Amino acid sequence: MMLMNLRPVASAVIVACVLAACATRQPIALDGAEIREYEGQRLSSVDDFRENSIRGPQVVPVDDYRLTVTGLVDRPLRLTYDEVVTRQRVSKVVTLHCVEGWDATILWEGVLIYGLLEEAGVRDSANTVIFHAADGYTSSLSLRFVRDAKIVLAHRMNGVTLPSARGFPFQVVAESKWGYKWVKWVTKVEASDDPLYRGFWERQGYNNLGDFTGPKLEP
Amino acid sequence: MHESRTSAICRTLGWLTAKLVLLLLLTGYGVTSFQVVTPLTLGLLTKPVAQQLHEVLVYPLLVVLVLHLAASILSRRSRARAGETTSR
Repeated sequence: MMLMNLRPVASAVIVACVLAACATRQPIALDGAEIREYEGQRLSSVDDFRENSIRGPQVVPVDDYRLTVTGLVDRPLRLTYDEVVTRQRVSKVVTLHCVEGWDATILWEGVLIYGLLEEAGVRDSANTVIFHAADGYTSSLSLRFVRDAKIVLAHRMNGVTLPSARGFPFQVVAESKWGYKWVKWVTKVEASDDPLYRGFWERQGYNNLGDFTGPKLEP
Repeated sequence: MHESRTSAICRTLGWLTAKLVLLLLLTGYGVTSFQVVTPLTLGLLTKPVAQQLHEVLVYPLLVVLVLHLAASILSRRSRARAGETTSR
């Protein structure tokens, strides 16, 4: 009898969940037509991402924006958006793998993070780079990894300017790392000597190394 | 007696399967919609906790589902057999 009464409720819950998952998302407004193929490689769309930021998409006003490069550096930098994007550009196709189970392959364009750190005179004692975002989110990568893997701070994706929903003005392209290392809306790059620094999700249990071939969670 | 016990087991397993499916859905949403699920569960189901549970829950769900199917088949067979005996 109890089963008979609850069956419609359980069915409604399951149908609602399926409908919510299938709900169509509005396409993001872009400043041009995005590239969907690069050197024979099919690319994902700017719309192929799930919104999973901690405080929703941030709108960062470009006029007031300053990217600070600070911490264990001899000459801290405070750069405008234009001062960053007019530097030598690097472009590469990199796949973002999210712990939620989806991925997106995008042509990213931006500047080398290690280049910015070198310009700021990063000290020998630094071994970690902490990224701070406009919404308070943080994550870190090892300085050696940032240098050797030529990690990019992207301002363009698929040939268009990074839209607000995807991290305008800058997103870390932390290739071969889980998506939670790909910090969006970057405002500060900090050189640190704390290799055990844990960012927002890492503090809650996600693996601090963040290798996408490794475990998602700390043991 | 045997028939009623089989259908009771079948019903219990059915409920357990349903509960595990709902828990799987909840933990799945806990990963993808943590902004809603975490406050709704008073901070108990955070994204990493939901992820861990979601990945582990698949195995008991599979076991319970197989047992539920097996129990259903057995229950139907024994009911059919009982029907045959009565009609004779």
